[in-house]
Amino acid sequence: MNRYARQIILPNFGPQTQQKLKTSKVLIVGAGGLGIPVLQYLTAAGIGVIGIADGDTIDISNLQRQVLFYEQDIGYNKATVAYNKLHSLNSEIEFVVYDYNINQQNVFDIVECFDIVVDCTDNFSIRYLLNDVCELLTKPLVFASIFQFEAQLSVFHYGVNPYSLRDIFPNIPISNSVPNCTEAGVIGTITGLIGSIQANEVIKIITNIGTVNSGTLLLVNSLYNTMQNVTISKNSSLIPFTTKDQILNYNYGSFCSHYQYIYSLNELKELLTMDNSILIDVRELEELPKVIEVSCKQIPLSILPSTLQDLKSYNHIVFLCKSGVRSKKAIDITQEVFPSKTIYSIKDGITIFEE
Amino acid sequence: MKIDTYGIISDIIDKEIDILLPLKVGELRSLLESNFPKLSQFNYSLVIDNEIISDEMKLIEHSNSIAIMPPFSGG
Repeated sequence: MNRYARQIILPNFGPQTQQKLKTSKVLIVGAGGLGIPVLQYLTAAGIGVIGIADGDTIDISNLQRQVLFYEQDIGYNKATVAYNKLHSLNSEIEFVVYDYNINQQNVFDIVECFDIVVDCTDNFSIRYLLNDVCELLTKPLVFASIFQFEAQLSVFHYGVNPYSLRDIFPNIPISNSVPNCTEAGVIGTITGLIGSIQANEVIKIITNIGTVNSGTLLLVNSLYNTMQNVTISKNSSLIPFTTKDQILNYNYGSFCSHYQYIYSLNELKELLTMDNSILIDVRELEELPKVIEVSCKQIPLSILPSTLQDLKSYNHIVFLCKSGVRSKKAIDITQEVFPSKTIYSIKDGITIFEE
Repeated sequence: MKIDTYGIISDIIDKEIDILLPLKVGELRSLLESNFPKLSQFNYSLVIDNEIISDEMKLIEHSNSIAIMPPFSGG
């Protein structure tokens, strides 16, 4: 207990409260700018079980704010790298690593294993999915989101008078009207500040100390050091989901980061041995070289939207183009219509066959 | 009346406008969008006297502050 001595001597804390942390299970969705401080402080504080969910790999542009990651980690999965480092911070913690993104198919199996969910994601589809699932399962959801130097934070689905993300913004915003960190920019320090507040809310929920930020939305502007807590009013026109099936069949739009990269020809060949898998070349018909190594269907990007229904029967769809740019567009187009299919992009495009 | 803004909406609201109450929330939205046409391309909620009002039919009889708040998505 020496490890936790400084928090155990706090007023209203003590060994019993430390024990509450130890018997808690917290899921952190997104191991990025917000997720990293949440993970570091909750690991240090002695939460019993910590879930880390992130299917993304570390990019050099992440290091400016995702301060747990170092240069040698570039290219590796975020959840896995975070686990390796956090485990050496506190080996008493039991970690559960989900090195893939949460989506409609897997969300219930994952969330049901935890007491509290922390939303550290960066797109609306997953944010609304987590919101709706936590509402149905009555699990507190510690929500935060960032725009440049500003942030929003609240705890939803907590206590006897719970609130929902949909009380603030009833419908999923069209993602192209709201820029994310990639498009709008973000300062590293605000994610550190807000992630720390999220971790603090988790500790308050578990220990019953202080007042949880429920029923109000905390608005932070780090350029002017303003913090404002505005009241949320219940939206009486909302019809809550009452069954899992309603959530599973709801259209959450495109889970924009929900796709996987294929790095090698062997990986591609193995994937294509699965039932219901298909490789699609979205280059124009005359582009060379042709794919001869594996079976491949040609659907140029320009005609993909009108031929999408041809893909209906496939569950694993791999896109190929020259460099990966058109594949990404093909993924967006496909996910709008088929949000639950598993989609892949060949990372380096056609050069995968040059060996 | 001065309108407070958050996030990307701060780039759109560039002047004070006259707002005559009472108005329903939906009517206030229309008034704002007619003064600031770009606003209609964005998703936002209204914060009236530090309370987020998402019910479009709610009548606002008087108000000391109006703010326009978009959702943020970054993390």
